[in-house]
Amino acid sequence: MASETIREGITHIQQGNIVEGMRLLRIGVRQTDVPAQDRAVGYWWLATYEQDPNDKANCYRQAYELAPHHPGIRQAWERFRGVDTSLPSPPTPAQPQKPVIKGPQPANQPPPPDMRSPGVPTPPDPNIPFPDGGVPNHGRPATPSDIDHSHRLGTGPLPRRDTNDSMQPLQFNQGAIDRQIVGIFNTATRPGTGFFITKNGLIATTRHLVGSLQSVTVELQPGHRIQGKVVRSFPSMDLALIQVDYQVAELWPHSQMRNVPDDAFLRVLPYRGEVITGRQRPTKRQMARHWFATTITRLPDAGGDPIFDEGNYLLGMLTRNISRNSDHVHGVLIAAIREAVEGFVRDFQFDSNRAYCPHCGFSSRAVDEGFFYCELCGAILPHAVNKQRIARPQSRFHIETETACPHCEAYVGFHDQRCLRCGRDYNAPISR
Amino acid sequence: MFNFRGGPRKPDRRLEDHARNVEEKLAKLGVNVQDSRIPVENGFGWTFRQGSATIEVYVGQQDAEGSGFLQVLSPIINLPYTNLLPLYRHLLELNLQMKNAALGLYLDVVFVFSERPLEGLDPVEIENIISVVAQYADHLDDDLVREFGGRLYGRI
Repeated sequence: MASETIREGITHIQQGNIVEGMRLLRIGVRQTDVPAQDRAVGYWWLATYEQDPNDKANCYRQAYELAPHHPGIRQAWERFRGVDTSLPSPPTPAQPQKPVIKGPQPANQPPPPDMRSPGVPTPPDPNIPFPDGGVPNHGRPATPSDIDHSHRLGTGPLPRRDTNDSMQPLQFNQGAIDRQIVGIFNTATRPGTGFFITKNGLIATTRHLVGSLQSVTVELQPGHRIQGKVVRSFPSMDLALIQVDYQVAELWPHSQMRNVPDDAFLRVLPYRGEVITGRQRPTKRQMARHWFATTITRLPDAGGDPIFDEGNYLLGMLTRNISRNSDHVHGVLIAAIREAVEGFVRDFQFDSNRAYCPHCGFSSRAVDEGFFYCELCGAILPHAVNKQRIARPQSRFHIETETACPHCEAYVGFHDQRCLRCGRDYNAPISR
Repeated sequence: MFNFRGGPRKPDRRLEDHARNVEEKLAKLGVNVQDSRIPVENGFGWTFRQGSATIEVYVGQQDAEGSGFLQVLSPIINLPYTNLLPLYRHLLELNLQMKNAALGLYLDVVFVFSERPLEGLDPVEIENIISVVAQYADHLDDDLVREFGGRLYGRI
């Protein structure tokens, strides 16, 4: 009977009645007379739709404890915890299996999880928007645990390849490539490419692509498009971060190089089009350390393509930026991209109510404090565009001005020793 | 008015011709020309009110070759003590949208400003420039004070 309750709950969710389905599931999983596998599947479904991270973790844990050998649950639990799931799964008990998976499944997917009780649908994803095994994260921003710190600069020994593999470049896993490179559409310019930079759906692409847009369309694979929200951009690096409701199981290994050696081999993987190869282009030009010049002059799209080195380590991102006297495009180092991402995640960790300013790309705190303007660039924030705006002393909250102008007595700061309000020299004699 | 263009010069006859044209247009706009005249060292000047805005018109000499300029400006607001960054940004955005006029700062006062060489200036253009500046000033001052604070120029 209780199994029936779980089954009904799943049916409700599949029909779109999420609230009712979760209510029934919560009732069903508490019944101790239900087979453990059924309860585990119930918890699995619950975990997928829980919004609260603690509840979600608890459901995953319950499901895993009830069915530790269930490959799907184990993989989902480990993915949720950020554990590498590439390890082989333990053998499943020899039981009659009846895979019940609705919706299309890609041919290269592993077989669906087994069920002890036939008839209970297993995959906790009713709409099948994630055919490659990713699970929705309901828009949760990236957290520090989502970032793979194992390759972070200066935090420990560099990851080393096995001796046996050291002479052989890593082989691209076509499935992993398909999952990690995405197409960016409905952009400010032309369609471009992006790639996952965290496991929970943060995509890196170029600021040139997103412009001052707040959302773009992300194509995970042909025919599977979702909406992506621009959450941060760095115009000085031509970098934009897009959050999508999607997770990936693994990330490409990142190169540890702080700069790209002269004439280093580069391989560029666009979302559409052919693979481009080129080399690092030695230059005497003084550039910010996150840029590196390439010999590439032709891009298949508007940029944002991941660049790999000879060993297939992710080296950076290709942009459309060129120097003044050559047509060779420049790339952004992955180390700089990671630093930017970590800063973004850290900002959100301390203050989750930040709002994206599409004008300068900053994560503004002004919205949370009831203000209208970005504290970095002064632009009207999106939430306040159609609001009646009244004069409020916002700068007192965001700009450190401890010194008053001796002439106009305003606390607005100085530039080149001149008051930003009255323009008079700080050291000029005061005339009353 | 801002004396951007060197030392004092004596007005020539051409300046007087242009000054006469300006006074004709001011009279057409309903301004009392006699009352609006203000003393200017290097040329001619007038000031009048349009709604909440004060408009100043100057005809002056620009350089030794004798070319002069028509300058129409209106001080609209005194800067607020806070919110300067959003205000400055907004002023620059407005600057890009305005036609035949610009916004600028002189000390702590925001001006609507338009300047044109006297060469080739015809009476229709004079009227157009004065009208444009007056309209911009009259519309902008209240909006800016309402959104960013500060105070209207010449008001407490």
